[in-house]
Amino acid sequence: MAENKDQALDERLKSALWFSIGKIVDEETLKLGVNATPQFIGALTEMVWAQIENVSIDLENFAKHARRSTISTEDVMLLSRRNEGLEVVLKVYLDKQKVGKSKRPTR
Amino acid sequence: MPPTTSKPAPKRKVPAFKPPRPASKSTKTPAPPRRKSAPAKTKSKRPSFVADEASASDDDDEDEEGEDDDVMSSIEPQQDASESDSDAVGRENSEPPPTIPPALLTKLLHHHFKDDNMRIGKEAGGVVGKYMETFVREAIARAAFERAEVEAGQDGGRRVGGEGWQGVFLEVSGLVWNWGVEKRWERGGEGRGGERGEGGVTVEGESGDVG
Repeated sequence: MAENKDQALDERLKSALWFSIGKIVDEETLKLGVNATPQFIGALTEMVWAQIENVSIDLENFAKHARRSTISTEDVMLLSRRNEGLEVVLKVYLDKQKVGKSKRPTR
Repeated sequence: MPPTTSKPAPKRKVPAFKPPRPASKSTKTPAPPRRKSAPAKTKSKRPSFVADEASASDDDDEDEEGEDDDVMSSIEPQQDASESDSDAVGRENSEPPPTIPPALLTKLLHHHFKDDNMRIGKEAGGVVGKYMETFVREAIARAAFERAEVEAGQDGGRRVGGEGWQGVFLEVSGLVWNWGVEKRWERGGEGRGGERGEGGVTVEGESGDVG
């Protein structure tokens, strides 16, 4: 019973993810001038799903390690500790958010 | 029109938060050739975050400079006035480029947390969103380059975004390659090259991994 429910939830979440991944793929492929097969989108969705799963567990553990029960940006930055390029991307993003906040508190 | 014209790097101004970056190329180069060895092209450019034509045509010889350009231009396309990017972005000014909706992402994260009491800050959620978006776009870019190389092997000279590129389909196989790489993604590609082969060639192998 509970399992069924879980599975149903899984599938619904996956569908939602599929949908938004599909939109990103559409945008990117348009930009690149290529096409993507539906299977491609499906496989990519699976990849992202798995990645989110890994990330969730990592983040959870990072936060726990710091004895917090709320994941903070520091925890997220730890995800990029082994990839400098990614770290820069995230830092720039974070910085932008902060600047935006101090200038006009829209977000 | 290829945006080869080396943009006179306003990105250089990028302020102090930029971390020291020892060996520049390490992030992207290491991935060895893959199944469809297309020797000449293979080495060329591994797509970084967003394989825009800029990064494709930039000359790698400038090493650090060049790479910084790539990184920065993929982050702030509008500011850098890299034409292709701003085209794509400005195409529909009304709508922001699609992303994974924050609400969905939060839900997914919570779905996978082991501890029900675990929470995530709003800012942190935003960064995770950026992370996942980067992940997705890089995956697509890699798949596109995979295709580009296959195509180039067959009839030479094609390039992503180039003229001969319409009608090219991204295939799962592009992702399968990607998947092998993906495991190393967080490690910045410093991993071993041997993994590639295990990635399998079939879709089944891939989704099996996902479980």
